[in-house]
Amino acid sequence: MNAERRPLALYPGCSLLSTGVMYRLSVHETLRALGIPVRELADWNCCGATSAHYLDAGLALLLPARNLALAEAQGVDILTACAACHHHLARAHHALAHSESLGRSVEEHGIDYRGDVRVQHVLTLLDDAGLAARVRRPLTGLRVACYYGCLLVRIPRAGGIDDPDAPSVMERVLRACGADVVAWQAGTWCCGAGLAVAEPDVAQGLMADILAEAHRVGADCIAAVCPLCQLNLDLHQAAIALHRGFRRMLPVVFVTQLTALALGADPRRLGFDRHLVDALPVLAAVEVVAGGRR
Amino acid sequence: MAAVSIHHEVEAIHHEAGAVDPGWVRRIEATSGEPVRLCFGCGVCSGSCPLASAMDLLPGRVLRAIQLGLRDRVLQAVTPWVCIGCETCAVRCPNGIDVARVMDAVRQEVLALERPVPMPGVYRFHRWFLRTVWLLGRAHEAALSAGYALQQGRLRRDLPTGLRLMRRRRLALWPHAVRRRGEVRRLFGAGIREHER
Ligand code: SF4
Ligand code: SF4
Repeated sequence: MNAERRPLALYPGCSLLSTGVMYRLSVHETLRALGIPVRELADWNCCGATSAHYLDAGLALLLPARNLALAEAQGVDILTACAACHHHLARAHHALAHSESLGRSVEEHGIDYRGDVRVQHVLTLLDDAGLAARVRRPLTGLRVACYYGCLLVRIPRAGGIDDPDAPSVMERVLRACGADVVAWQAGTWCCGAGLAVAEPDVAQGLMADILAEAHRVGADCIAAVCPLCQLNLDLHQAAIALHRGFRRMLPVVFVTQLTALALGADPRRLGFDRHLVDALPVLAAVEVVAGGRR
Repeated sequence: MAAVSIHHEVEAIHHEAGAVDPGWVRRIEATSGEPVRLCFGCGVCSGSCPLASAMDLLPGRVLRAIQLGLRDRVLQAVTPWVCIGCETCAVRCPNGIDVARVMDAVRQEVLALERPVPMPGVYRFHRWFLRTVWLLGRAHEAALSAGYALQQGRLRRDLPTGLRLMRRRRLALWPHAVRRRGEVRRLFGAGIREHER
């Protein structure tokens, strides 16, 4: 293992180019405000997501492995944002760093990886960044429910960043930003992930439970770290609210949209116009952004 | 789900399953990389699985049935196709078994043997996903959704959702592609073609 820290390169992942675009914008704005230089990994490819391990075990190793090899060749460590990308990259790194024979078999596919790259999630970076001293616009009064979803905190050998049952890193980060973090049960519940497309009824049931729990504790918004969680809870919420009789809509924001705001970034650069459930009213209510709708 | 003792349950699946393949457990251990024989049927994985209610065999019962060699029963189960790989089972299993990897192995055996896929919709969704990755090196959500909706004959139902996302500029139409796409395509090897059938 290489002990020295290399520069970080963001691995945005496919969703951050499309449905999760606000995540990418706000990761960059957060890091810019902190003065942490970050570029993006050049020529990165899809990590394989659920589909690769679902249908083809070989592909589930090879797709992330190519990204690890790219990072090694470019002399950078990988910074992840999407929870699933983090899981798949960290898992492949762990497998390859611990097995020479696996290393040889990926080499046969043109991937040369020595196992030196660190895969770090943006939450861990923010946890160590001394945020409290840098906050310019505290999120005082904003009641946030921290939603981890599944893969970011699952199993240490796949890069789980925190206790799988009682994670606290997001709470620490948002508390450092002055937010009023609520205690709730649903932090690591499942949103239904990709089943939301093929089996929407099953997935909406799971989402409804998460939203109901957030309503129960009186959250103003939910903070997410996974583009699929955010998309599911944002996109399906209107239908679920109708079905379950929720009287209020709960905006689902990315954790980095909140950190960027707290660090003084311009709200117009954080993609708030992209949400289906508008987040600006709850932010305006606690005077984190100027009043009015988008 | 009614409380049924494990013995009754096992007898019942035994009864309906027919043929028994006692060597299967070792083969699944080899393809999944997980020590399936260590499972002692505690049911913790089943109890923590968020999707248990949509499954026909609970995750722990799948492991048990594999131990017993009830191959046909498991290959017909919807369970592996409902499993989304959230890994909740993997963090809870007292024997450190990553049940999601076992589900992967079962699913891939169904495909390799060209057995009927118990949930074709989910299967097609993932296939469309990998198609876009093969084509571009990256997943393309717009093409994936459109292709899937067309194949499933639900374009009319899915279109409004797509339009809502497009209105919010969250469905990039212009594809982002890897520059050296050949490098990514090579990784598919025979794999994607196998699933292409
Ligand atoms: S990985 Fe699959 S079997 Fe395990 S808890 Fe999640 S959905 Fe259930
Ligand atoms: S938790 Fe582990 S030991 Fe218990 S039934 Fe599930 S796989 Fe078997």
